[in-house]
Amino acid sequence: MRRETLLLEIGTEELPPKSLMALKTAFAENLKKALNDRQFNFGEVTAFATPRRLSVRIAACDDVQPEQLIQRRGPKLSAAFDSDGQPTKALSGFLKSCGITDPDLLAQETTEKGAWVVYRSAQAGATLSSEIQAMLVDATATLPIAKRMRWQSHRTEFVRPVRWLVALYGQDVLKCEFHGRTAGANTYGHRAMHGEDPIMLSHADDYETKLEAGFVIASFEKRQALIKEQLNAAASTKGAIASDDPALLEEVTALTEWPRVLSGNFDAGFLAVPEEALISAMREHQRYFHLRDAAGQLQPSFLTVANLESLQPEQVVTGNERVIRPRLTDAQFFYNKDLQKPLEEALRQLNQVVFQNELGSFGDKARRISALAGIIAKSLGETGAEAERAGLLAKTDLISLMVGEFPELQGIMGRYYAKAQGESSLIADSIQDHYLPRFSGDQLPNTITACAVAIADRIDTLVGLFGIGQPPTGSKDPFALRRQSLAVVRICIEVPLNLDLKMLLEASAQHHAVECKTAPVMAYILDRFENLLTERGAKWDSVRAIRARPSGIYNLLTASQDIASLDRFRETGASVLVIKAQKRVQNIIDKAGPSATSEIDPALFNVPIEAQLIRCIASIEAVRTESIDVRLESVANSAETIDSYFKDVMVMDDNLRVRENRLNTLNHLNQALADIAAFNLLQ
Amino acid sequence: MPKVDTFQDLILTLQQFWADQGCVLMQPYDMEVGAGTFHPATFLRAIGPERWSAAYVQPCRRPTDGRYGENPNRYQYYYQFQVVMKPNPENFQELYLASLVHLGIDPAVHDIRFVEDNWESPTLGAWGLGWEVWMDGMEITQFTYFQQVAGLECFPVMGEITYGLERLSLYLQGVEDFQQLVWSDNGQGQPVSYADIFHQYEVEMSAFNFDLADIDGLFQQFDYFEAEANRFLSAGLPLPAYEYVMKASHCFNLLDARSAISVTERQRFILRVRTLARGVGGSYFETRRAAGFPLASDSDRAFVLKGLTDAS
Repeated sequence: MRRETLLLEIGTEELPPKSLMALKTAFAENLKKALNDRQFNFGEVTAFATPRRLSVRIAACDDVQPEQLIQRRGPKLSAAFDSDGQPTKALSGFLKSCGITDPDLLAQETTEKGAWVVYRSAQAGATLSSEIQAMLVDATATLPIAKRMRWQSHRTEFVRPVRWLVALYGQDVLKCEFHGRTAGANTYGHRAMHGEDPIMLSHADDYETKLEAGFVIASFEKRQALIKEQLNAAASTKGAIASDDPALLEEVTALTEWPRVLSGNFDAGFLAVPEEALISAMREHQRYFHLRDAAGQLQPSFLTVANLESLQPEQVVTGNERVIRPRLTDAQFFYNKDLQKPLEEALRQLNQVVFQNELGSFGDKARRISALAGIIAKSLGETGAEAERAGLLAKTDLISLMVGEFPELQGIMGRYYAKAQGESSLIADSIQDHYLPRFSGDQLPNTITACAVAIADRIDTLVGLFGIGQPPTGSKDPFALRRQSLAVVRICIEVPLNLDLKMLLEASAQHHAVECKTAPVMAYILDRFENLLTERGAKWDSVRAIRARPSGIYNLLTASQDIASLDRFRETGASVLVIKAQKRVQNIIDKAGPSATSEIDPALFNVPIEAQLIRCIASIEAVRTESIDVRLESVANSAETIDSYFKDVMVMDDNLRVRENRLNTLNHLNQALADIAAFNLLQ
Repeated sequence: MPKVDTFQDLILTLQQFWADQGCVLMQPYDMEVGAGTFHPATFLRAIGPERWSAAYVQPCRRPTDGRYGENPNRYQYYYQFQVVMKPNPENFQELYLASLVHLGIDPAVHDIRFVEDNWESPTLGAWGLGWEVWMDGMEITQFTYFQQVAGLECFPVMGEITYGLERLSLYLQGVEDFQQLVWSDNGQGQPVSYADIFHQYEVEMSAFNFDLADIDGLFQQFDYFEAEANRFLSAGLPLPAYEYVMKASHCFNLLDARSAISVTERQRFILRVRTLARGVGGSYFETRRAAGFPLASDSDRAFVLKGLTDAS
């Protein structure tokens, strides 16, 4: 048996950079699985990816599967030999089917059901070369390809056209093919620096070094580290700091085989344009890293990652400088044009932009957000005037030229434009911050005004879309209602804000032109609330128990506090008694069915504990309006009494009046408890 | 190596290069289009199993891109050089790179890259996968493998290369602004610049596109062109129908530049053009089928016909 390095490389035309990492990982994982499924032993697995190749190197890979042990069961021992000890017909047939004649080669197997003859043999394992084709198919069948394509007159589909295939085991080419390409030992180097001549790999172990000689760094991670190093070096020669942008770094790594960082400059006059716009123009259009000085000031220069070591790097720099100038000119043009548009004119234009067919224009939405933001701010003790204004202006930048070009600048440009037209900082900042949180873990708005607009915007969308029958489904959530609900929950419980969500949903519904039911929205938000709290360590049944009490949840903040209290209560011994007793109470009540009356007559008590329980119920009810901690404490104080009640009292007394009296007592107790939490839901 | 000093040298050199690769040299289509893809030599020839290779210059009109001649590289009227090959040769990328070398661009000096950019034309019901080609950060070419046109699967696949002639010329001539490009220079007198030919046109047409084009008239024209296209489709004449689709599409672009179409209406207009384009594509396919797909290879023709039989 041999144990050598296995190398597979799929050569392609340029792969999509944003999928390259995922493709690289999936290809290697799938190949590992294919080897494991076939029980090949192997060592370290290394995945490589460049724009023109996906490859995997498997160290110390066996060329043959372990021996396969095969056992076949024949006739029962009792039916295998006749009285003379000679093989029966059945056994002869079995021997024949196993390809042997000598019964001595058989073994016996005994189970509870009897003894059988068995034939055990060892079959040689399949070889790597016989399995490689099937494994290549397995490893590529489920790659995460967003859009598959065809080329030439082929009927098959892949990410991009396949140009070559390498399959090497040590020094040997393994016979296989992929999309019409037959495996060989030839790979290809950098298009410009090495040229189109093949690079012959004499051994799988030579892969990285041979490619490097052909100006290709096969390892994604090595290229990424090299780019980072070069970015920092180039920045520091300019006395500046390069932007730290992992997503961009990953993208440029996926766009290069031989990365070289170059720096260029642009006219400092452009720095009058908001820096976010300049950064967007550089990043989105050109994949440039921007630079800041030690004080954080944006510098009139950029770093670009070229895919070659140019014979005349200054030409590449000049070319890039020539490209960025019109881009920045456009950003400047957009900014100046946008500044000239009065906000009131922008508001009028919002009437032309459809938010959603049945829910009207963004102008309609802005007016609804404004009204609701005002209600929210007022309920939090503010005048509401700022929130109304910020809400009205929150979407005005959507019709700006700049946001048309760079959608990711929404809110940011709105802040600049509002400020430039004399709106207060509070209002301008709220226009930007109402988009917070943009993703899970993002920061939250930090003023009441911004929070009010943030919540109003999202509630408006939720109520409207549920109202027109377009709630999210398991797979489809085009308006990101899930994320919007989570944002509402986070703002309420983390800022924190004391808000009556039910009231807000109803107020929102009234502002919609279509009829909107709010109960499904409330349930949807509470489901997100439940998930979020349990993710953060709350017991899921505590959340359910608070949610299920007759008063329900209207205020997410107080509900979250109640849930935390209930969780703490459940750490105590008393809670065990209470939960057990409450379940018993519920059972008895369910079995007995509804009572004719609800009166409790102390004259019918004949065991001391009965009066004691009544006093307990009274003490629990006496603190009804207190905090949940006080209420739970009163429950804890009553726990022993409730527990003893069932020891001392036979509820289903033969005397029907006594029985009803006791059932009514339990009913009363049950209501007093359920009002605090649905204890019966606790596990 | 040819001399590529002027804009017209560039055109002549590309024409010769692609003629040598077996492309039919066509001329610009004599109607307003937004891209070389609209030329029937691309849009219609991408449909069905027939083989086809062509190259041509196409002036393009994008009314919203007008900047009154003031932006260095954004014009409402500019030139594309279009190459289509169907099926795409397997070394299509290498042929393209060879064409750049042929123009005097040294790939050991310039950073030339294929950057993912998947093409989609909602009005033509078409999409493809490919790249924009960057040279030192500037997009100089769009490179696409068509996957679907007029809602029909492309088989075999047509490969399309669209050079942005002006942007490429900026590099070849080492200037910063379209206006400075030399269109022709016979070496005996004043060279003729791009600005000499087009500056006044850019200024006037920007005013026309943004401020003066008659909105009501254009809406009426759009309806008329649409009705006519449908009439020709009913008569089984996809080629005249297609010319009216191009006219309608240009009307739509002008209305868009005049901000006369709201966002929702925009979708509806695009849908109307797409419906026509699909009608044309289907009808063209049928007329070629009736003719027996004469330009198809035997195997591709047989494959497509078998698919149709199996489907019915």
